[in-house]
Amino acid sequence: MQATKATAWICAAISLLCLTAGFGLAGHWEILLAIPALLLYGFLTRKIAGTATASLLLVLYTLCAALALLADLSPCLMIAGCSFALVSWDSALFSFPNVGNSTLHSSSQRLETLHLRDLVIAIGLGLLLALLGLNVRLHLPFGLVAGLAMLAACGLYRGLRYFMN
Amino acid sequence: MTRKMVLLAFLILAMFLAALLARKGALILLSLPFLTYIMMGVFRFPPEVKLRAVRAQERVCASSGEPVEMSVHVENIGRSRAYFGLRDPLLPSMELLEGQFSQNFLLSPGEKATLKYTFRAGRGRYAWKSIRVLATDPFALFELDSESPAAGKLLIRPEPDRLDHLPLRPYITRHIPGSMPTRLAGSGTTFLGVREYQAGDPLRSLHWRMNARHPRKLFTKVFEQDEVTDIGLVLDARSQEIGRDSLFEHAVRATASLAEMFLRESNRVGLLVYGEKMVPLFPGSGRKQLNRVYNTLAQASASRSIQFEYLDYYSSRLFPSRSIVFVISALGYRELSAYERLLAAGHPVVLICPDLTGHVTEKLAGHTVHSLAYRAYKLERWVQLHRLANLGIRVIDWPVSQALNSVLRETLARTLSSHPGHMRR
Repeated sequence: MQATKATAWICAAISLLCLTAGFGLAGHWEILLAIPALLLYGFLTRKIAGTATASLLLVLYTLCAALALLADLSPCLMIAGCSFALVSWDSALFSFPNVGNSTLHSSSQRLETLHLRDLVIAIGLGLLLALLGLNVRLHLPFGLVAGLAMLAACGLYRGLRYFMN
Repeated sequence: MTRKMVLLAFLILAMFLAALLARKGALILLSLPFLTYIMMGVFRFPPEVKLRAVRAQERVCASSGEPVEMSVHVENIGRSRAYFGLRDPLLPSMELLEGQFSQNFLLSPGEKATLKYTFRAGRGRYAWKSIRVLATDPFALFELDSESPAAGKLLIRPEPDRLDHLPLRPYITRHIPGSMPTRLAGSGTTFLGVREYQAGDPLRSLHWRMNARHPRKLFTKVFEQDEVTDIGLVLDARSQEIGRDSLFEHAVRATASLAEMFLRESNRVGLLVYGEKMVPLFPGSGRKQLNRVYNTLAQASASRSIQFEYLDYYSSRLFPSRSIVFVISALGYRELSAYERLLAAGHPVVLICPDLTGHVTEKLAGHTVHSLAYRAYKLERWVQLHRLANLGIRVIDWPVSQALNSVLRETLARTLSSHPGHMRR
């Protein structure tokens, strides 16, 4: 579990750096006031088992990143920061994947490695697609976009129904 | 879907809405890592959950409070690697000593794992039908809850106290050497008297003092023959108003202790659990009978209150004629007529009455108990027990805070030295 814990802390630090850099480059150094507050909150609630603390921090971070994007700050830094925040959140919750008295058994090393591998693949792919999206501009006709949107909505609906059942 | 998934779905939806309202494509791009994260969860979620579970117990019977090791071996018989969470139910009065009731495993096809834990439990019969299996993805976004058959049974027997030999004088005995004095001359160890020497008497049994006093005659010591006898145990399992569980547990333990002691001394013991459901156990002796008694007591539970009227009906069919009947009851002293009929049928009766008044004061330590009500209750109990004692029943008023062994020895010794219906106060 050491690697996962280290990943959680390192990614949290990187995401905070991204947020600071994003706001700082645009001259909004007031964000530096929010960082100690987030760190203090994280420190004070580190012993509390459950998803609430980490999840609240992720929501707050995503809100900050969204506000930064609305204010036309660096999207690269914000997307990267959000991705690292997501990794940090997942790693923080990995020790209690199901809230309760669950623990991992002796092959936890293998479980941890595979989890980290899947996490890196998923977030790496997301980051890559987002960065591609920032740099590649496609001009699609409205009909195709509408069709794709409907297809995505249908897929999402079917997927959700599958998992709800 | 788990809470994690709900949170992510909420964040993605919020970002999409914000992007549409603000007409900012970058906000949609911000949600892409979240989407790929979910997609990876979907991709890694096992398409089918096929798990074979086998429950392996260290033993099927154990004593109350004794650690029991439980193992559940699972094997992934599906075709894909899957993350499983195994959750074994925590049954009432079970206390975990080591290990976990629930664990998570990552199992490749054909791979095996074991959920292992040690627990102790109170008296009773425990049964498992299945084990709960939660199949999930590596990020715990989706869960599939199912049950895999893994049957198991466990009987937790009462832990008996070791009792010393009770000085009883049964009316009838079985003519097999045992531990109960019979008032007949024989090959026992208790001195009975002296008689004139007869040819064939062993020299070591000569009474030298008498021989010295009467030089022309020889005298021999006579010992009392010890034989086995029949004992009937009646456990009153009827509802016992206040703090019944704890008091009932004391009664069960006392019954187990008596059965162990009498069977250890080779007597024949029968048992009747008297409650809403009558559980009779016909008389027998030896270790097998002791096991039967323990198993019956393990499953005994306090039930709805019914009349004690049927006691003689069962006892006359279950226990041999004129055998000693031990009634272990906290409230049974109220029904005098049942005891009268038992005595009329020729059974010497010993009533062991766990002290409810002491128990009530312990239970209601923080409550306001009206002192007059409490005093009236104690007086009523005392009067009723005296009535029983006057009937000729040996009453053992047992404060549960004291060891049963010492109370029994003290009371029965005093009873034998005075009249048979003496009551301990």
